[in-house]
Amino acid sequence: MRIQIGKSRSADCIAAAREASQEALRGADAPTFALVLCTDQYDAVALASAVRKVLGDIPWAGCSAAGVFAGTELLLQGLVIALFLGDDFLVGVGMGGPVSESPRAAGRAAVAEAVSKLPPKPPGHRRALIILPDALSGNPTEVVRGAQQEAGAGIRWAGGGAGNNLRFVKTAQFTQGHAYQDQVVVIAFDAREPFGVGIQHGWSPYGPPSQVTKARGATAVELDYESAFEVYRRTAVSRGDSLDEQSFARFAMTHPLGIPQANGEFVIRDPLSVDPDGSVRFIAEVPDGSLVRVMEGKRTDLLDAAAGAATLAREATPGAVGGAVVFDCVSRYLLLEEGVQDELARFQNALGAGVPVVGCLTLGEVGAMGGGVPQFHNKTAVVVALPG
Amino acid sequence: MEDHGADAEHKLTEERLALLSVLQELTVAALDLLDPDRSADDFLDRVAERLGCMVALWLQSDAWGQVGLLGASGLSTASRQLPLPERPEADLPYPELASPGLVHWSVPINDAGPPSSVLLLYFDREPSLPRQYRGMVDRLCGVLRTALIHRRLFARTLDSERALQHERDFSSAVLDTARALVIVLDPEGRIVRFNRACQEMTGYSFEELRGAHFWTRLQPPEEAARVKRNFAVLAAGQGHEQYESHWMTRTGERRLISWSSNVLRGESGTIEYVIGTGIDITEHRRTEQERDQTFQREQQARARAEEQERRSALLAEASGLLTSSLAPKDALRSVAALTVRRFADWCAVDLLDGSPSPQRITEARSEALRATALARMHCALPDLEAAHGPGRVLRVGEPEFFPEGGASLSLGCVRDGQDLAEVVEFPSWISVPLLARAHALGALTLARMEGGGRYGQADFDLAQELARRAAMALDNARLYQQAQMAIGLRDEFLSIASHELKTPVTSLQLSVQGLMRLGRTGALRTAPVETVTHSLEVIERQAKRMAKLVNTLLDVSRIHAGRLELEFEEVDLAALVRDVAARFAPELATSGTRLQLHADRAMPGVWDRSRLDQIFTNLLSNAIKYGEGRPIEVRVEGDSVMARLEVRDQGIGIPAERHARIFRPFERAVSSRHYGGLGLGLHIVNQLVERMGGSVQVASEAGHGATFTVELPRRGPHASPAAEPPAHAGP
Repeated sequence: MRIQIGKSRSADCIAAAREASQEALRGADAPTFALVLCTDQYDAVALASAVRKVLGDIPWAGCSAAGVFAGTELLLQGLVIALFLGDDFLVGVGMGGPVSESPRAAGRAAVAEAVSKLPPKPPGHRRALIILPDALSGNPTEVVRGAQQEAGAGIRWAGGGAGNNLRFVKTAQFTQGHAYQDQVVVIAFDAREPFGVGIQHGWSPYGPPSQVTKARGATAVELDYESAFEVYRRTAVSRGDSLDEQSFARFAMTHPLGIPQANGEFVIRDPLSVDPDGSVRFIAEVPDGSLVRVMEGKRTDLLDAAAGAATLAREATPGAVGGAVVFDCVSRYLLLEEGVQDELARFQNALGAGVPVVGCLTLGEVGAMGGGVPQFHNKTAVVVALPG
Repeated sequence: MEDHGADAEHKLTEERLALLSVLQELTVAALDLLDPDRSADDFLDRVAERLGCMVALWLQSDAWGQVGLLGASGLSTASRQLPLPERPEADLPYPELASPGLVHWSVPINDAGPPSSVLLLYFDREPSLPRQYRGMVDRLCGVLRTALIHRRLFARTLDSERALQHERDFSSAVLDTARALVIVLDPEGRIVRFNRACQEMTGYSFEELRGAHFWTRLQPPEEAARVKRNFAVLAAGQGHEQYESHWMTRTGERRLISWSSNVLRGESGTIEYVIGTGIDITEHRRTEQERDQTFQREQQARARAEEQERRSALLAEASGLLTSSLAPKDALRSVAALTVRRFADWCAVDLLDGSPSPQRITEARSEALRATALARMHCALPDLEAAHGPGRVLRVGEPEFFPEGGASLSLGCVRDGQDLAEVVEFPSWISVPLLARAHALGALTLARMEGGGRYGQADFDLAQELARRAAMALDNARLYQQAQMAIGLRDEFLSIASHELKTPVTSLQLSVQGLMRLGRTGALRTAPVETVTHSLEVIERQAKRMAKLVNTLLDVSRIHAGRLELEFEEVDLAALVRDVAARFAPELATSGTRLQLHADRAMPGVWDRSRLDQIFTNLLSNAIKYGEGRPIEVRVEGDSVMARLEVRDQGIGIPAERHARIFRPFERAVSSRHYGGLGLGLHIVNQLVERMGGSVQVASEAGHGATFTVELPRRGPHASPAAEPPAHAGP
C-alpha cells in the first residue's frame, strides 16, 4: 500500500480539484481509494462535484478541516488528495447520522456500512478504521463508542473531527461523491500488514487535581463543588496567572483539562467557553467523578509528542511505510503558530524522509491511547502509518 | 539521588491520583447501573477506556447455570450474537479474544452462589498499570456487587411497578372501554377515577374534576344536599345501593343517571373507595314518558272516539225518533227517555205555546235517579222570571251550561219524604233552547245527579245538537200543521169563492135568459118597460157584485205579490167616513140598523183615498153584516199625529181565541154557511192599514159585539215617529 498525494491552493473548487487530482494521479497505477481533505473556504457541494468529476470511478471520502497538509507543507486554503495505491488492501466506506440526534447509533451505522463494503476479512489481514465525525454536531465521544461497539476489538483506530478554522459554523463530510453535514464517515481498511497508529499530545499537569463534582455531557458545571471556571481561575492564580471570562479563551487554548488514565496518561479535553453560571464547555464529554487536572503544554513537549506519535506509528508498522495520515489538533497549530511547521517536520522526520504524509488540522482526534479501546481526544496528534 | 527521590515521589503521587480518579470516575459511572434500563455496555466502555483494556466483559450466570452477557466493551455486534458456554471464562467464542498474547483479569463480582457475575478484562499485552489496580478493580467490583443488588432490586421494583401500572392501565382500559359510567370516589366523596364514558357524557376531563366533591361539580344544586347525605350513608357502608340522580354536563344539560354503587374495603375492613356504576337513562326515561303520553293520548282519543260514537249513536237514534213521527211531542217524549238512558239522569222538555207559562211536554228520569227517589218527586215548571235555569233559557233563548254545578240549581225538583221535603240538586246540568227560525220554541234540560259524572263541552255540544234537531222536528211539525190548516182554509175559500161567484152568475144568467126568451118570441118589443128595466138592474147589480168579488181577489193577489200601489193625497177622514156612511144608507135601512156617526171634526191626513174608503167600507159592511140590526157607532178622533177610526157594533162578537186569526186570509170568525163573503175583508183591511203605517185592533167578546179600531199616522206611513225619526237639520 502506498499513497500518492496531490494538492492545490486554488480557491476555485474546479481548479483545486483538477490541480490536486492531476498531481496525485500523475503516474498513479490503478488507485483503489482517495482520501480527500480540504479547508473550509470551499463550497463543499461544489467541491464534491468537482472532485467527483476528476476522480471518476475512484472511491473517495474525506472531510473539511481548518488546514490541510501534504508532507510539511501546510495549506490554510487548499485541497489535498491522497490516492491509495496497491493491491494489498481493501477499503470500504460508510456513513452514519445525523450525529446530533443519536451519536452512538451514527457511529455504529457508519462502521456497519463500511465493513459491509468489505469482503470477509481474509485470515491474517488486519483491519483499521478511520473515523471522521462532524465534531460540531452531537457528542463525538459517543460516536466513537458506537463505532467501537459495532466493530469490536483487535482493530487499529484513528481519525479526527471534521472541523473548520475554529469559527465553529459548519463542517463537511465527503462520501459517495457528495458532501454532507451532521454525519460521521468511516473508512475501513483490511490489509495484510497492520496499520501503525501513534497518539500523543505532550500536555502535562499544570494544577492540582480537581474532582468533577457536577458534569453535564461536555460541560463541566462544577469542579470541587465550585464553578468550573472558578477552579480554573484559582489554578491560574496559584501559578501567578490572572484569569477572567474575557481572557479565558486564550488561557484555555494553552490549558486544557486532563482526564487521568490508569496507565498514567491523560485524555485531553479542550475548553471552548465559559457559560454565565461559571460552567465550562468542552469539545467532548467530561466524566463525572474523575479527578481532572488543568494541563499545560510546552512547545517542545508538543513537538516531541508529535514526533513521538509518528515514531509510535512508524514502529507499529512492520516493514516499509507506504505513507502516513496525520490528524493533528487545530489548537496545536493555534498554539504553535509558525512552529507548526516544525511539528510537520517532526512528523515527517519520524516517519522517514520520502514517506508521503497527508493530514489535516482537526477538531478532536480519535485513537486508542496505550492500546485498548479508542477514545475521542483533544489537542492531540494521531499518526497512522500505512504499511508499505 | 534527591531528584530521583522527588521524581519517584511525584510519580507515586500521580499514580495515586490517577488511581483515585479512575476509581471515582468508575464508581460514579457504576451508579448508572442502578438503572436496570441502562446498558452495562456504557459502564464497561468507561472501564476499558480508563484501564486501557481491549475488551471488557461482564458475564452473569443465572440460577440454572445459564451464562449471559450482561455487558461488553470491545465486542462487535456480530460477536455479541454468539452463544455462550455454560461455564463462564471457559473458551469464550469471541474472535476479539483470539489474538495471541492477550492478558486477562477475572474479577468476581459476587461470590455467594448463583446467580454469579464476573468481570473479565482483556489487555493486548501485560498492562503497564501500577500493582494497586488489581485491588482497585476488586474494590470496583464490590461497588458493582452493591450496584447489582440494587439494580436487581430496582429491576424487581420496576417490574412490580410496571406490572402494577399494567394492571392499572388494564383497569383503566377496562373502565374506559366500558360504556357504563364509572366513577370512583374516596370516602369523602372526592373523585378518584372518572372513566371515559363519564368524560364523554359530561364534557369534563378527569383532570378537571380530580379531587373535587362530585356533588359540587356534577349534581344540580337542588339535589346536592340530598346526594351528599345519601353518599354519607353509602360511605358508611349502609344502604342506597340503587338510586337515580341527575348530573349536569359542562354545557348545562341535565342527564338522568341510574346508579348502582358499591364500596371497596381495605384489608382492615374500612371503606377505601365508593364505586358508582351508572347508566344514562335520560333518553330511555324520555322515551318511556313519551310512550306513556302517547298511550294516554291514544286512550283519550279512543275514549273520545267512543264517546263521540256514543253521542253520534244517540243523535242518530234521536233523529230517527224525531223524524219518524209527525207528532213531535210524542217524539220528544221518546227522545227524553232515550236521553236519560244514555246521557242524563233527568231530562225535561218545556214548550212555549204562546200561553203565559210553558208547557212541560215530558220529564224523564233515569233508573239511578228513580232508585234514589224512593219517595215521590215533583218538579215544578220553569219560572220564566228566574235568573238561571230552563226558565231563563226559555225567556232569552240562550243555553246555559253548568258542568261543575257552579250555579247548582234545584231545577225545581223536590223529593217528598214522610216528614220532610228535600230539594233535589243536580251538580251538573245543561239547558238548551229549542230554537227554530230565531224563535225559542221551548227548552231541553238535562241533568246528572251526584256521581253521574260532570258534563263537558262535548256534552254541551251534543245537547245543543239534540235541541237543534228537536226544534227542527218541532218546527217542521208545526209548519206541517199550519200547512194543513192553510190547505183546509184554501179549500174552504175556494168553495166559498165559487159559491159567492156562482150566486150572481146564476142571478145574471136568469135575467139574461129571460131577456133572450122575450127576444126570441118577439115579446121583447111588447114587454113592459118595468120588466125589462128590472132585469137589466138585476144584471147590473150582479155584475157589480161580481166585479167587487174579483176586485177583492185582485187586491189580495196584489197584496201577496207586493204589487199594491197606494196613491197618497190629502184626505179628510171625517168627510170620507160621512160620505161612505151616506152611501150605506140603503143597506142600513134595509137591515134596520141605526148608525151613530161621530165624525164632525175634520181629520185630514196623507192617505190613499180609495183604499181608506175600502177600509171603512169593509168595517162598516161587517158591522152591518154581523151587527144583527143593532146600532152601529162610528167615531173619528185623533191628535196632531194620529187619526183614529172606531167602528163598534153590538152583534155576535168574536171569541177571544180567534182574535189573532181574523186578520189572516181566508179566516173568518163565523161559519161561511151562516154569513156570506170571501173572508178576505179584514185581511185586506189589515194589510191596507199596515201599508199606510197604521194598525188595526179588535176588541170583542162572543155575543157582545165587536169594536175595530184603526189608527193611522196623519203624515203618511213614512212620517210615523216610530217608523222614521225626524230628520235633523244641518251637519
